[in-house]
Amino acid sequence: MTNQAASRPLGDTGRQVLGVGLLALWLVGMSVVIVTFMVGHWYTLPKPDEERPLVAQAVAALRERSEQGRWLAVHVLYAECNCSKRIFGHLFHSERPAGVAERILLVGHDQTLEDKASAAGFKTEVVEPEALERRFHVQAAPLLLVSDPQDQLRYIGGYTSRKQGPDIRDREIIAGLRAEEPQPELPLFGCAVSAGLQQLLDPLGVKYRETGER
Amino acid sequence: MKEILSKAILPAQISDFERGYATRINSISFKFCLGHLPAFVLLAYLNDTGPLDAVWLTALVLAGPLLAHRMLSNPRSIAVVYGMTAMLLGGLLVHFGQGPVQIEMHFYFFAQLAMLAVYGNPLVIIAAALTVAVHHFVLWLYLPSSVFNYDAPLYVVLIHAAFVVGESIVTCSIARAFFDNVIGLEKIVAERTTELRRVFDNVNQGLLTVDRQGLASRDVSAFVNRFFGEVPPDVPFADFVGTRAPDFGVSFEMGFEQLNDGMLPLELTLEQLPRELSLADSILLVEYTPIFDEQQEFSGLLVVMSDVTADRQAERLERERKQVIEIFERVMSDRRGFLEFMDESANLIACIVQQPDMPVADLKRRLHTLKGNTMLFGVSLVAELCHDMETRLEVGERPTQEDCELLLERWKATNEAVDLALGGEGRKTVLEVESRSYEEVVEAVRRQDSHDDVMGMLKSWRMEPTKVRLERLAEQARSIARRLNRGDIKVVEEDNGLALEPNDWASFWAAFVHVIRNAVDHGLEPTDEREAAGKSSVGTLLLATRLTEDVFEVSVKDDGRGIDWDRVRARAQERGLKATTHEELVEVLFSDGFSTATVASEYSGRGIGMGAVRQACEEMQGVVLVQSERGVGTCITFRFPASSMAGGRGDLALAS
Repeated sequence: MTNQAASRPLGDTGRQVLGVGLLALWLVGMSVVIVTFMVGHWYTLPKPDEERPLVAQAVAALRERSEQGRWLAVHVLYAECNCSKRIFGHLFHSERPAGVAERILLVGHDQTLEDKASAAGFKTEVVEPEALERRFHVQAAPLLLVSDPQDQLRYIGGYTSRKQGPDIRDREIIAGLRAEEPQPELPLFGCAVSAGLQQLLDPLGVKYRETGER
Repeated sequence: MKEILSKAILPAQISDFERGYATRINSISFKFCLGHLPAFVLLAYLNDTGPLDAVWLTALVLAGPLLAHRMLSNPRSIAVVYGMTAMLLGGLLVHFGQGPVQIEMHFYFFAQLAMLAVYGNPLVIIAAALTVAVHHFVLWLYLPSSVFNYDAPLYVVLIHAAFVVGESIVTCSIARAFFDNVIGLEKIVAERTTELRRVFDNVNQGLLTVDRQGLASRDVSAFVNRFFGEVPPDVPFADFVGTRAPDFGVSFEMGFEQLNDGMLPLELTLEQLPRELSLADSILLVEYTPIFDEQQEFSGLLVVMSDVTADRQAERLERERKQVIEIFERVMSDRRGFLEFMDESANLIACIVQQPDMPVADLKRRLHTLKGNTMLFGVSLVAELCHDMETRLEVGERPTQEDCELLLERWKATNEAVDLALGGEGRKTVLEVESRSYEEVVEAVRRQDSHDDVMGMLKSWRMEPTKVRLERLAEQARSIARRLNRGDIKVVEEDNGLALEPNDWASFWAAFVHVIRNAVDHGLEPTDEREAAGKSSVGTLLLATRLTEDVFEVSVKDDGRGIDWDRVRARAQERGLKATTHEELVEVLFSDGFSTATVASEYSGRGIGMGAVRQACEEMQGVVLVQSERGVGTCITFRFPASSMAGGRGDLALAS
């Protein structure tokens, strides 16, 4: 090709081909981005079912003396997770079951949330994601853990029957367990907390960036 | 599969209408997509899902259609990009709208799939559905358990997919129907127009319409273009056609004005429009069909032209052929009479052609006589031409140079036919002598009669017995009666054994034919009329030549309806002529241009013939007498001095 030919403006056909090429790139790029979002929304997050005895021990370790002989509900919530924030709001505004000790494990730092939890009468423990995985074998939030007065772990699961469903069922679950009614463990919808799970679900780092989930 | 593909993929050709529609819809779609940007930002703000992310991610999605608008020229391809864009925007909506109604945000996909039907292009919907399917597939490849979480069984997955697939199929059908019946309508119209154009280009007729303003339509058949060229915009039909046929244009313009005025019945005004369009080398037959609007008001004309040149040529050839046959028969049956007719007609033609300044009255007489004689002797092509020239002469148009050339051409053809009939004999003058006359001369010589007596007998051979003329006229009368549907008539000849000098009397006999024609055409009634009047159904003509002392008479007597003298008088008064006495009425009857007939036929009615015969009579020092009684009949007698019979030799007037 001569310089003169090379400097000629693209013909109509060339323009079309270039356009189709660019559009193909656009479609692929946007698809990847949106697939990433879809993964985050659709993936049923893992629960520590296999490490159940270890989790039970870790939960029992949280019990204080004054809480002996009572049912214990632990809410594992992630400060950067919108789903967790919805659960926060629910806890702060709903009537809590009487005679049940409740504890919040807050992953990440959020002073406002801590203050609100304290004001609502919740004991809160702040843990880092790595500590959460190491101590409780939990990689995702929000997660509800319920132990009976004998520190038998009776429930590990989510709060809603569907993704971000409006019906948060923690109180029904606790009440059912106390009445010795079997409670199916709900799937866990929410956010990956551990770095490994975040890497798996968002290899491009679109969704989980430095500050966590959107 | 082939059928499915043919439904899914639109025909390659994009009509102007479709291009315009698709461009407009694409433009609206871009604005619609752009409207998502503030909506998503607001949604992200309300859901705390990152308004800034909503800005840049939505902008990235919008970059696709923007790029398509910039780089692609095919509006259908751009529309396909909008199909993908719709689904990508759905993905963003689900992300930014996460919360209790996140599942409900998925309705957006179904709503968008349905809305995409507005493009009228199944490929747009297929592209959208494929975009969604590809997302699911890629996700499944990466994380199989992520697709349909909450441990949904396979049938749930299939139901989920069935909704998308089902809606896509239905929407594709709607889009295709929309294309075929709405967007593609213009294409259908264009195809039908093309088909119509194909008909127009191949039909061997001129088809066009003329609107109420007289303007010619521009959509015309190729036939019209071939003869008149392209129709310019807003040109009156009269002007358009008038460029090649000025007379036709003028006639049409006048007729169309009458038609548009609506003063006269439509059928009548349509009849007055010109029917034949003569070009230099073609003859077109023009027919008109009125077009009415919804209120049944006249709104224009459908004009149909047919090239009848070949037909006319064939007709003319056929008539020439028939004329040749007729001439042949006439020559064979009455050679002498026919040759006399030819001589007389040649003289008339020479006068008509060579004397352009001849007075109109003389010209009319000659044309009329020529017409009558040529008609009687079967030379119809010349007779028709005379009829045309007579018609135009009545409106003040003298025969043109072209008329004269055509007359000479047809006369030449007649002469050639006569030569053909005569064969090698040519037109040698043949003297016919009855055997008895020949024997008488032989006897006179044997008796050694005087030279003068024998000479007289021999000279009498040149005389023409009136019997020959009367027989010829009788035959012509019967022929006219047959042509005029008078049935068979009875013709009685009384020659009384007389003979005349043929050259002196040729002009008279030529003109005398008019009297015969008048008697048959106007005198004798049709059969039913005769029967109603209590007469014999067969009309009778008496043709006679008489010699009483010094008066020679030629008369025609019929038993027809007789002359309506009151009508003659009324017509005469209309023309300002004196019509009180019988003599004055007779004078009117033989005046130029007088006729009681309302319509001129090919035989009579113009009021020319009687004037011509009186002129011929007077040239032989004769007078005309008319006796007529209403309901009984008419007798017209021409009286001449006996001395005129044989050029002053009364002794030769007796043929036997």
